[in-house]
Amino acid sequence: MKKDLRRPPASDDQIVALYWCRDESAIDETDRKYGPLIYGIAYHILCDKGDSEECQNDTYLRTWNAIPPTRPNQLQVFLSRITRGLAFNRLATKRRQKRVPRHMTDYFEDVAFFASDRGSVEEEVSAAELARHINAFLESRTETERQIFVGRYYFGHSAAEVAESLHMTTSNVYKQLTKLKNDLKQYLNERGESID
Amino acid sequence: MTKQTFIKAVGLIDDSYIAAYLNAAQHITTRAKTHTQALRRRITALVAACLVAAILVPIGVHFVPVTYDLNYQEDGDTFYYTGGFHWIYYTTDSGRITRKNVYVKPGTTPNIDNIIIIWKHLNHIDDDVRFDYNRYATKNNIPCLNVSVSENIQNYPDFEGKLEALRCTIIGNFVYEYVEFEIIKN
Repeated sequence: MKKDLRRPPASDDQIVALYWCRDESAIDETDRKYGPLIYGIAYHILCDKGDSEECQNDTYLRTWNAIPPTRPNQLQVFLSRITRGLAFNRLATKRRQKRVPRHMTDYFEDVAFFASDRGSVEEEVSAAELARHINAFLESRTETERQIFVGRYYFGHSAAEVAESLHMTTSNVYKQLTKLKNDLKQYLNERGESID
Repeated sequence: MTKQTFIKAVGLIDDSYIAAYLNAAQHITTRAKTHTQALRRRITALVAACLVAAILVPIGVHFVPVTYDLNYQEDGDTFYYTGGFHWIYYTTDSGRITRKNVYVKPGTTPNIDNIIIIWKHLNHIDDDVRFDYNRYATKNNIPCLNVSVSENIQNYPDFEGKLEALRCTIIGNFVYEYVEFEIIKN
């Protein structure tokens, strides 16, 4: 997509307004302002240029289809959610083909602390319920602990990358992550979200 | 609970938590594309640097000084000393006379014997070729040097060119304006 670098990027409200008006320049403006972010999120999870570009394009299509009726308050977060979801779905396919980037193998091993691969149809309903518990758990934690959790489990960043983002040492992040994991596991067990 | 359920659930956490990390980590989340571009630029720069080096090194190697540790006993007077670097002339395989910048380590006083040692090395002359020299001055006090060379120098290909290189070396490093060679029996 051609980018007009001379003018500043449109604000989030302006971009959302373009989507509501079904003006296709909304996608250009989204790409201009958030293209690197979307690609970066996808690339970090998928570690493949082609897959990441497809994920990016799928994000734009999903966004076009979602707005309207949605009117996101934080477009950046809205886009990151779509991209993250698409990237992890694509990664699930790669997992079946045993083509997972190494750092995501570490990620899945970390997630295995809370869950296993066994499950049932009822699991789809409990994702929202589980999210409610995780939100409540995070609300009781410090800002730094929340950011460490989001960096590690939402974006799949390594402890070193989280440390770099938050200007902490890697060892400090590891220590806080270990505590967070243990506390969250206990929190979920107490509320009946059993681990298989 | 499966891993996929956990991952989906994390995807549904509060906007404000995600926004806070995005603001802190913008440079990380956008680094992928720029990293790829930066990597491509680095590789291109590396390839270009290798190409330039491949062209310049054969040219530049002549200008890299060779260090000689002569540790040679000074014999006689100290002749004109230009400093640590000396141009030593030698003949190439094609018969051309060229020169190499040579560094003589401090503490070693360069004199004609030292310079001849280096000249021999660059011209592939063995130690069995002996040199002797006699300095004199003309009526106008122009310093001259007469160099006697053992006749086995004639066993070397292009020995005239090599002696011409020695003349250039002596005149370039010492006060002599004229250098004459005399071939003598072994």
